[in-house]
Amino acid sequence: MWRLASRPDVAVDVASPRPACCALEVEAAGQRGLLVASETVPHAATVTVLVVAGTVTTALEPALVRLFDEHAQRGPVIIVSFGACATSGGPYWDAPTVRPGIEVLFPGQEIASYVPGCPPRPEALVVELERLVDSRIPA
Amino acid sequence: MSDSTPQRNVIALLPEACTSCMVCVRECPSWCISVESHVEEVSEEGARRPRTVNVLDEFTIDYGLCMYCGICIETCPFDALAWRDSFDYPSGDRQGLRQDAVDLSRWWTTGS
Amino acid sequence: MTQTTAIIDIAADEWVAACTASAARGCDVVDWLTAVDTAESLFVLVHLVDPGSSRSEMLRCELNSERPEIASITSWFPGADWHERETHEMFGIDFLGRSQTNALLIRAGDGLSPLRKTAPLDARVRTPWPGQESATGRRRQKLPPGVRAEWTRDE
Repeated sequence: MWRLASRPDVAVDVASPRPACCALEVEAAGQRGLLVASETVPHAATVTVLVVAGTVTTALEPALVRLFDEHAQRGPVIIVSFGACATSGGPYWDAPTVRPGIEVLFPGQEIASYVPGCPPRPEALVVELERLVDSRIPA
Repeated sequence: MSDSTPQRNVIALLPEACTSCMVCVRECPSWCISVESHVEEVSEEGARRPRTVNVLDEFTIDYGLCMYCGICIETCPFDALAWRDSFDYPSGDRQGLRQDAVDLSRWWTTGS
Repeated sequence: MTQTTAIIDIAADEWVAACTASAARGCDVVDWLTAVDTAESLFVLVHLVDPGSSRSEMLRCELNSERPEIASITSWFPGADWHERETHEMFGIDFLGRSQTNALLIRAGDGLSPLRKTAPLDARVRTPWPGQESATGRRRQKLPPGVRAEWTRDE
């Protein structure tokens, strides 16, 4: 779990289910101090940003939906599609065992943002997260 | 925050160099490029007969599918595609990642 | 500078004997075992290494692509177990003498052997290929890349 370095006043936890290579860019954002690792369990008012960073295989789907449900029980969840795989299946769009994009996995939920890249830079994630937080949770 | 080395963050289009040859479309492994075009006859003073030219109607890259391999840039015979540095172009919806010729040509001059 | 290991072709009924002979020569550790589908033929390959030296041997066996099966070597090489499981899952090859179930990555019942060239990519068949278009409007006759003719026959 992470928090945005630039908005310590907001308990926004980036929970990245780590399917594939895009997850390394989330880690790199941590390395560069743009995200801060957080061990604390978020309290009820916390907004969770669920960053789906990587290829979602059909075998992984139930775990991803379960993760969303767990966060949704604690408070609002903002879903971010990070990278080509989460957005469309990416290079693996034609594979029978790959979900071609996360849009259909969370019925009734909007995907707040689609971040392009294969993988996107760590900065691309943080710039967009800051934008989402600033527009939805004013300081 | 940015490196000094040139980045491969977005692909820009120079529409006036594009001849709608479609090589990039066919070579793209992700099938993320689509091009629409038509032919026109161009008469020239003194020429025995008119030339037929391809006219580009639309050029789209779906950045939700693009894997940034650069094959399109390498195979373009007319250098109409190039890398640019800009990485900040997310979208609130899936359709917003499908950039058309206007979007793609804007990167050519402003994408640094 | 890497040495290329020569590939030794083995007949299916000599597979176990060839692997154990390689082990007797010192190459008794399975580095990897996998399969290759060239569309014309289907092969299983195993790379056996001698951990004490840089020696290794690569054995290959051509299988019947309609009914691919070969003896399992896990009784002699326990390290081959994971590789045979994965190769079975990805290529549908039966390794005789061991359990054929306990899939690793693909859910049971999906009925796929995804690394076979014949495994259809439905998404490629369904999705219009942008490369079909041309300025003159004349459509190209050939199949889109990655689509085999037999997948489109039922369309």
